[in-house]
Amino acid sequence: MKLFLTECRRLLHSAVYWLTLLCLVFFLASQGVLPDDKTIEEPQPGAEQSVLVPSNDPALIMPEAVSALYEGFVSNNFSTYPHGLIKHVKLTAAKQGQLAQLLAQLTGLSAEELLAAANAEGGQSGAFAVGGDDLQLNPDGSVTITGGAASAAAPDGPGSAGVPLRAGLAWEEFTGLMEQADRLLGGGSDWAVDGLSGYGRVPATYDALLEEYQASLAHDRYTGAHARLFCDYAVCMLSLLPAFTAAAFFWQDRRRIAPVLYTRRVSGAALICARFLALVALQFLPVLLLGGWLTVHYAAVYGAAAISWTAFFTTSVFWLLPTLLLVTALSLLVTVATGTPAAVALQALWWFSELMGGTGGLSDGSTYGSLLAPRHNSLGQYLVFQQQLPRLAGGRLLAAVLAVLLTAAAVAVFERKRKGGFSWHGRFASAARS
Amino acid sequence: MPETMIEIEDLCQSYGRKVAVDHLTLHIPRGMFGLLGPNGAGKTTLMRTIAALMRCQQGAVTVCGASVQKPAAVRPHIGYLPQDFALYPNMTAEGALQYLGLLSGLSAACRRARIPALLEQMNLAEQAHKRVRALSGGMLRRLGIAQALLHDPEVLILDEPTAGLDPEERVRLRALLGELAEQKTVLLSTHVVGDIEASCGEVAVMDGGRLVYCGAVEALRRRAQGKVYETELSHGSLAAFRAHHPVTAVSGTGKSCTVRFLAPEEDPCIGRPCEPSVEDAYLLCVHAAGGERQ
Repeated sequence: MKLFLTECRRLLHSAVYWLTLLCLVFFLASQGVLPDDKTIEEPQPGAEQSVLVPSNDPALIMPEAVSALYEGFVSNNFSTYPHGLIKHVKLTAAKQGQLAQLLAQLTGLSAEELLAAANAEGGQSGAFAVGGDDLQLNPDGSVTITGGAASAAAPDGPGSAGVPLRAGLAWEEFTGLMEQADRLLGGGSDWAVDGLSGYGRVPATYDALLEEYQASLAHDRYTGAHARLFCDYAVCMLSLLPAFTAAAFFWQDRRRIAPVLYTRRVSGAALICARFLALVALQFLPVLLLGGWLTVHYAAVYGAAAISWTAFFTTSVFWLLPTLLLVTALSLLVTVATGTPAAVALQALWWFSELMGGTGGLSDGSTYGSLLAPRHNSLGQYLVFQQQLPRLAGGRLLAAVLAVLLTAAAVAVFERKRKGGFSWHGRFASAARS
Repeated sequence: MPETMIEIEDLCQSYGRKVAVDHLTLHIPRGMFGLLGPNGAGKTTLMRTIAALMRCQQGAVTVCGASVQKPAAVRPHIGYLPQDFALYPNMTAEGALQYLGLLSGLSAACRRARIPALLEQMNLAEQAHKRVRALSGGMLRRLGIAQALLHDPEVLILDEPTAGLDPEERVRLRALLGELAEQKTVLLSTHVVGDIEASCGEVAVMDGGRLVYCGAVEALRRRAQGKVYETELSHGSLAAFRAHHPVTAVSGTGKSCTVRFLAPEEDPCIGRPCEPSVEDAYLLCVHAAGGERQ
């Protein structure tokens, strides 16, 4: 306990610690969650429902997805996100030909017609239509379908009735062709199978919104929903910043100081664990304090009796603490093992790929499957959260277990170095000096 | 408590193909014991092995009866001052000792009593609240000795404690170490013969990882009796002279100089014999072992 308190005092003197704390608070404030500028309100019947939800209806998804693919095909300009990084794709002539073949299977048009439309002078996406009984190529390069109710499907609206697709196109065949298109584009496109839910979204019904609202009220009691959104943003920073603090803290034990430590009586386990716990405690405490302050704020907004007074604390422990443990443990292991601040670079790489790539994400950007930074990027959505809770809980538990294992590994490495193992730094220089 | 505090039996240590300590056997008694040798002789490797900072690759080392193969058993008995000593720069001198005292398992009461006394003993009482980065080289070395003494160990292992100090600091430190050696075993490694001459009764000379002499300092000096000569030479002929005779000192200015040299095998038929110093004897030892002059 004394050693833990001493390490806490040492950490409070660390400039890096205070800088990272400032970054966390500044980031949360900039994202509008200190406090949240939105409030949870009961949906009103008859008001325009601006909330869109996935329809999961193939009849709505297929025409929109094909429309968007055709639009990209005509302009030969696609934005994809392979490995979490944005990439602008321009297809070669050969690959455009392959994509035309895919579109032909989707639309029932011939590949030659589609290529001609794409190659027409000034061939911009402009006014276009897909499929249809009569396909007319306009002088400006656009294609008009005459007959039927063919029209360009608006991305935010439902697909128009009669948006022609190839007759008899089944969902399984459709998804298979979409997968091929995604591969052609190098992966990470909106036509990957797990990205298709972004198409065919429909306004939520009043009944669905009311059900969501009542479920949220019963279980979230307002602050539960705000806590999830708070954690969604906080985890973005807590999956990176603790690496700086841990690396800076352990990097103080550089080569010249290490022998003085190594000859002390204290066990490696006691020292490493005291420092680890000090890092976790002092970086989690501000999160809890912010949670407390937000709880009081929302008590004033919704009424003290209406809110859950523990939601911010329990949600933070469940959602954020495993990430903090994992990042801290990994950083201290790498710093103890290498004697360098390489942990920062390593964590930055992991952070960037996780946050940019996502892991089995939902269409609103929520990612519950992430080991490092699970996201829930909306206020409310209690039913979705409930549905994903087992996945989230599994990930949190795994993160915590990994943190314990990494800390144990750090203890083992520290003890080994203490006895002369892994000491490649300056080994021969020291020998030469003796 | 055994009279022989540190026992080293047939120790071999190497870094890859480079042999740092070569079949070394040494028994270090109570009191001040010097470990002398040129750079690369293996002194630091030996010190680190005794301090349980390096595993014994071959042989056995015990400190106060505890084997260094069990570092936890050895640590309470030793205080170690590394050659490249440093502490957390933003800590105060007292704060650093408090922290290291906690890591040494000292209670708060014990630390409250010992640390001010140690700072007083090391002449650092006025620097107690100064940050480590603001201490001079001599102050830092004395703080290093203070941290080695925190838990009152029986054995002090000091690796080149006077390196980089000015003559005044060096003299002060030697006097301090002499006082400590009255109650503890102080193993002092250095390549400065003056440190050994001033402080140690017993010395071991290492060269190339091997032990080339172990015994009293005075006995080492006497080994060079009749093998040290002085002569006058012109500066121009000095280089040629060095090629045939190991030179231990050159003094004098102007056209000629006084050269002190070794004649280990036979009468050189030049110069006059003179009373050997410990440095002469050390260099004779190293020369005989095939080592390089410093």
